[in-house]
Order: sequence, then structure tokens, then C-alpha cells
Amino acid sequence: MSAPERSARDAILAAVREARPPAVARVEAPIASPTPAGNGGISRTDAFNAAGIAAGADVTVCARGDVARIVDAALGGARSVLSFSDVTPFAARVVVVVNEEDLVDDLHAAYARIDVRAHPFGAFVAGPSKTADIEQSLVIGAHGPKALSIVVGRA
Amino acid sequence: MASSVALFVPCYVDQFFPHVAIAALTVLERLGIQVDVPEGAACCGQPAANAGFAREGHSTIARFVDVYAPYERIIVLSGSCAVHVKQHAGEVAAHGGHADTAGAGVAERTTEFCSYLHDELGVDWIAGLGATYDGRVAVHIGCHALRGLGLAKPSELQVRPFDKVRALLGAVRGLEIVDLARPDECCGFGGTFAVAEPAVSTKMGRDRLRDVATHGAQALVSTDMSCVMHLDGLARRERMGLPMYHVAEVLAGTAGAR
Amino acid sequence: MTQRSFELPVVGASGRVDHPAAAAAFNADVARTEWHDASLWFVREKRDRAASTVPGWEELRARASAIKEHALTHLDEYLVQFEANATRNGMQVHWARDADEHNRIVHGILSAQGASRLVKSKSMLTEECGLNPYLEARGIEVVDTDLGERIVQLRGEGPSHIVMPAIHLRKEEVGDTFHDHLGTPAGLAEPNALAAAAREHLRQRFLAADCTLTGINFAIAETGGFVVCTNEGNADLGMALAPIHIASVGIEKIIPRVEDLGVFLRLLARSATGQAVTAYSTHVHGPREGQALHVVLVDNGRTRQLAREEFWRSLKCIRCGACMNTCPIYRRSGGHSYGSTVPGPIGSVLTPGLDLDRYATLPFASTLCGSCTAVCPVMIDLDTQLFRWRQRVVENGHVSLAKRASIDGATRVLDRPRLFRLLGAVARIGLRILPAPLARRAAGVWGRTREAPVPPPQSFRAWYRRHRGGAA
Ligand code: SF4
Repeated sequence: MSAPERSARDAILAAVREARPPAVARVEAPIASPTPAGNGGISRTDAFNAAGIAAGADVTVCARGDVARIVDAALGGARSVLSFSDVTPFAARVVVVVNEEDLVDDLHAAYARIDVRAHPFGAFVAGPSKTADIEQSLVIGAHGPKALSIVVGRA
Repeated sequence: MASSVALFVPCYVDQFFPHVAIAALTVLERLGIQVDVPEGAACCGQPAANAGFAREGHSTIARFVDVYAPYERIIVLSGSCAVHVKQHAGEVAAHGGHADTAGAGVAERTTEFCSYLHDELGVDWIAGLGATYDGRVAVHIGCHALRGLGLAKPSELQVRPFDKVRALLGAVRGLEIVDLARPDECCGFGGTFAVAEPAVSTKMGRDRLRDVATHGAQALVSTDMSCVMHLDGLARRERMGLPMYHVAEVLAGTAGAR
Repeated sequence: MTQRSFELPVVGASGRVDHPAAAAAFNADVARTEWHDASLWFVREKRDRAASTVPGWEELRARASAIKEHALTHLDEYLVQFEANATRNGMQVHWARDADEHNRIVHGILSAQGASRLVKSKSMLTEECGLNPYLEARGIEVVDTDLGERIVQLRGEGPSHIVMPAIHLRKEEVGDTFHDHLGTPAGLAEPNALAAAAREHLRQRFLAADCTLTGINFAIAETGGFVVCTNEGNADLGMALAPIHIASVGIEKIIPRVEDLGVFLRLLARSATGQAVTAYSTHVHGPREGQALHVVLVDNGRTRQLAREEFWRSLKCIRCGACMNTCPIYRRSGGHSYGSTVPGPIGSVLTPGLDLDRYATLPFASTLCGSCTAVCPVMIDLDTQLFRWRQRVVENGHVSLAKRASIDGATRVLDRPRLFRLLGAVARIGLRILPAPLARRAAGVWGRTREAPVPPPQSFRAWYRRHRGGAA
């Protein structure tokens, strides 16, 4: 850090300390995840399926042994396939394969399970790239993938 | 101290809509409430404060506190005035022999006409008035009454639906309420906003009226005569022929009588 | 590269923003006003439906608000923690007191590497700092890659909304812009075709770029990482390709922990567009191999706002835009009428803190209906803060300005005797509750589009004295 930047840093931190409003304590109580009952009585897999479709992804639930075959089929019609790495945004079509037991109820549960520090770059991908910047008309494939397929493998 | 319940009639209601105040008084009296309308405070100071002149309006709300401090219950015939008193009367400090807490007490004991009827008397008692009204109406709850006083569930909030105004009007035989496309869109009055931003204010009012008209309402019923002053002014200029009433007039059976 | 016009028509010769005049100009085109209003109301309704699917939505809002209040009241600690962890993750952390320092830092990073082609994803902060004109004047090509941002950039405009930058434009206008700049066929206005043309055009810019700049939605103190949310995936594309990544962030965007992201990501997209979550929620915890990753922490007036007892809570804002979508004034006056980077209710609360004189009309561009406060995912009491700014406008010696802001100046109508008689009643009542010149002007403006109330034969007070036996 250059000398002027160091003094900017010190000045900002001093201004923040000076300004600091009365402390508000952190709330530690966990946030309740929806129970299947609270979720309208549907299973986690069905909820995931519905959410995926709403986001514009096609979701296939199949037996674990069929996963490879389905992914191969998907690959046949696509230019490339990737999961959560930094190549994802180039692909014309993305297929994500996930084990059913790795589905979680919501983002709170997801963050409790994953270590975001493990990779320099990781994304929650919810559907294809899209935009509604022209008159609120939904357009799929603004920049990145034009399709997202999710294959859920059931044991 | 005279009776323990006071009715506050805001200045514009006093001057332009005396029939609304008479209707409110009539309803309260028929329900067996003995009501005073004390003299000496014509305004609560809200218009000046909302225009940025709260300091200048301070003496106005201080006078309000002086006049209404003796009462157990202060019923305000306007949602936005009620919200102003509840939020700002507490800022009135000790003066003229009043304790420091006089303002806070007034704020605490102030309520609005519909809230009072619904929360403290109850819909069953209101039904005892035997009010009737023959026709389809749209309901316009003033924004301050809606979000500031909680007269109904605002459309933004994800809580169990409730609507105290509809509950009160439900006690009126023959009255039918139509649903609007935008149930609680602001009418565009907003005090000095109506004249500070005349273009947007006018457009908001016209849009609100169109929503009312396209849903087949024959009249508009509101909690706030300030909204009505604006909407009615627009409707008459455009010869819409849409009568507008305060909830009190409907409950008193005087809506449509003029 | 088109030079951006920051001289919006709303700013008069005095250099002050005249919201009422700009809003009146917007409303002169009734069809456009109605279309704009309907487009945004549509988004507001999508937001309602999305929020209604989340059990405990209001608790989630309260939690988000509490996390932000905790973070802002311990901001120095969390900033230092973020800096240490980000540095450990291989990022270079910079600090900028104001817009100029921010721009100089960004330019310094670019020139040190000889970079001259920058692709940007959405960053309201760089709009606030005027980064594009600054870099363009120094020979850097800057390309906004968010579709809406690119559209307004090609037109030489600023965004009119913080989430939907081109919401004020019809597709035909976008078609004309693309015809002029991207060579699409004249008359082409089909959104899919226009977006496809932009995709090809921008893909080339992505491949040619030697630096990418992104905004940051959430910077996590605990891990020294950050999250960027987009629907288009444009931030991801830039980050994956360019050898230099600069992320600019306001210091108020720090959150303490990773687990807090669960709260904010569930609220953000639902509030913004009615989606469950944005298509891409990208977590960055260090540079890719061979990439340089810089984070610029920017103050630019934020510590001043933090020091304001009445207004510091406005810094909780997560820039979802919901308060704009719901605001009946924003919907009917357009984002440009605010003359500030952030328009709508939150803009009218944040911007006066930068220059009260210039933005004195903004706190008055509201009926204080409170809808903004009720939709805000972090529960900022926007209507209360607007009310407080009105008092500050008057108290800080801008009385005449406040009067002008609270009563429109045009008073021609007062010269017409019949109308004046009609409006006498309004003037009379106004005189009781407002200073005299305000009241007289108010009566004139009222009567342009509205009838005055018909004065009754007697006031309620007179009736009461007669029928209830005098004063109580
Ligand atoms: S103030 Fe609230 S509603 Fe408005 S943009 Fe910020 S977070 Fe969203």
C-alpha cells in the first residue's frame, strides 16, 4: 500500500470510529429452515425441482446408475459442460449433476455445509443467463449459458 | 375536567366538510360515548411539519397538547393528523405548568376515528347502529392511517390479512365493496406535495380514480378527508360524477343524503 | 467512445436539481408515464408474490436489518478484519476517501500494467464516482457489459434505475441506439434479437479486455471474500477472462459472516425483481491463477452519513431497488428526474447528505406514503428520514428553497379573478396552517387541475356552538 493510501486508510478508519453509532448487538438465534410441512408438505427433491423450473432450469431426477447416461446425452447436444468453476460462464449449456442427499432446504443450510473459502471462485447458479433490460421482456442467454440442466441422482 | 373523550376535528374538515364532523359526532353519541369538542386547537401542526417547518409548527402542536391533555381519549378525525400527534406530541417539552410527560401522554392517548370504533368499541357494537347503504363502493384508506396506524394490512407486508375499515363497513347493510387493482396505492395528496409536485400529484390522483371507476364503484369511501379533497377536486374538474364519503357518514347513515 | 452526459436536464442554471420541473416534463408524455408506471408496478407485484412464498419473510427482514445495524455500529472492526483476510487470500486492498481517490487508484492499477481496455459489470459506486468519464479522458476504453448499462452508455445517459438501468426506454429506442452503434438493421426492436446482437458485440469486448471491474454486493469480514450477484453472468465472464480484476465497494457493504449471506441472498433478488435468487451469486475468495485481484474500499461521504444520528441507518441499503419500484412518485417521474446516481426514496435520503443545497427538492419528492419503508428488505425507515431531511433543508438556511420545493412556483392562475374567488377557500384554510405566501401560491397551483372544495354555509365549529350549547 502506498503512503497516500495508507493515510486514506487511517483517515477512513478514524472517521468510522468517530462516527460509530451506539453499538447494536448481534442476534445469534438460528433461522428456522422450512419443514416439509411448512413447505406445503412436499419433499425436498420436489421443492428443488419446482424452484429449478421456476428459475428456467430443467431438472431431471433419476436413478444414480442413469446419471452418467443422462449427462452423456446432455453433452451430446451441448458444446461443453461444467460445474462450479470459472469456466461455467463460457458454456453454451451447463449440466449440473447432484446427489439427492446433497440437496438442502435453503441457503442457510447450504452455507452451513459448504466452505466458500475452499475455492477462489464459486457460484450458486440458478438457471441460464438472462436479462429483462429491454422493456422487461425476459431474454435467455444474455451473456453466459443459454440453458441449465440439473440431474439429480437418486440412490 | 369535562367528559373524558375528546374529538379533534382538523381545520380543513371544520371549514370544508362540517357534515363529516357532524356524522362522526353523531355516530359516537349514538354509541353512547359522551364526546367533547374543545376549542383552542384548530390544527395539530402536521402540514407545516411535513413541509419542513416542524420548528415553526411546534407552537401549534404545543397548543394541541395544552388543549387535549385533560382528556382520557383523543379521537382524531384524520389518519395523518393522528399519526402526527402520536409521533410528535411527545417532543413537546414542559411549559405553561404542564409536566414534561404531558406531550407523551397525549401521544399515547390519541387514536383515530375508525381505529377507536374498531379496537375499543368493536364491530358488534357498530352493527347496532343499523346503518344501511345501497350501492357498490371503493375504499380508500389514507396512507398514514394504513401504514402509520395499521388500519389494514398494507399490501407490502407478508402478515395475516386484516382490514379494520372493511370490518366496520361490513356492519353496514346493503353496502358492497369492490376490489381495486392496486388496493392501497397513494392518491397523491401528500399535503404540500399536492402543490409542490402538481404534475405527479395530479397523475396519481387520476390513476387512483381510474382504478375506482373501472372496477364499477359508484362511490368512494375514505378514512381521510384530505385524500378526498384532492380526489374529489380532480373528479369534479373532470365531471366524473363520483360521490365520496368519509366512513363516518356511511355509519351515520348520511352518505348520499347531501 | 461516446462521452457520457452528466448534465441532466433536471439541473437548472443554479446547479440545483429541480425535481418538480423534471417530473412535469416527464408527465407531459402521458403514454410514456403510464407505461413506465405499469412496468415498475409489474415488478413490484412480482416482488409481492416472491415474498409471499417465503415463510417468515418479515422475520427475515428484521434479521437482515439487525445484521446490518450490528455491522455498521462495528464497522471499523469489520473493515480491518476484512482487509486482513482479503490480503491473506491474495487480494490487494486499497482505500479511497472520495471519488477522485477511487478513480486515481483504478487508473493507477490500469496504467501500471499498461491496460487500456476495461470491461465493467454493474457498479453503482463507479457511477457515483464518475469513473467512466475519468478513465475515458485518459485514453482507457470502458465498456459496460450489463445489457441495460450498455444501452444507456451507448446513448450517453446515466442509468435511471439501480437494478434496471434502461427501464425508462422503449424497445424501439433501444433498437435505434443499436442501429446507430452496433449496426443492427433499422427498425429492429425485438428484444431477443437485440440482446443477441449485444451478446456478440460484448463477447468480443470480453475477449479483448485486459481488465475487468465489478461491483460487490456483500463483502464478508470473516472470510475476506465477496459476493457479486448478476442475472446475466457478465461479472463472471469478465472475472474468468481478464488478467486484472478490480472490485470497487462502498465501505458499508461489509457483512460479518458467511452465514449472513443466507439472509441477504434470500431477500435480495425477491425484493429486486421477484426472482427467488439471481441467476449467478458468485463468491470470490482470491485471484485465479495468474490473475491480479484488487479491492477498492470507498468512503465518499459514507462516514459523514454514518455520523448523522438521524440518517446512518440509510447505510443498511443493499441496493435492491424495491423502494423505487413501489414509489408512486418514482414510477411517475422516472429515475433521471432525481438528478442523482441513486434515484427514488433511498436516493432522496442518501444524496442530500452529499450536497443539501443541490438536492434540496428530493426529500420533498414524496407523499410520505411509507410504501418504501414497508418493502425495504433491510427495514430502512425511509419516510421518516425524508421527513427529517425536510426539517434540515429549512433549518440549514434553505428556507426559501424549501418554500420553493414545497410549493410550485407557477402562480399565473392567481391573476384570474374567477378562479381566485373559487380558490379563496383553499387560500383561507392554507393561511391557517402555512405561511401566507405559501398559502396563496398553493391555492393557485391547486386550481390548475382540481376544483376547490365547496365552502359550506357554516363551519363545524359554528354548528357545534349552535347545537351543543357553546364551547365545552
Ligand atoms: S433502501 Fe431498501 S428498498 Fe431501497 S434499494 Fe435500499 S435496500 Fe432496497
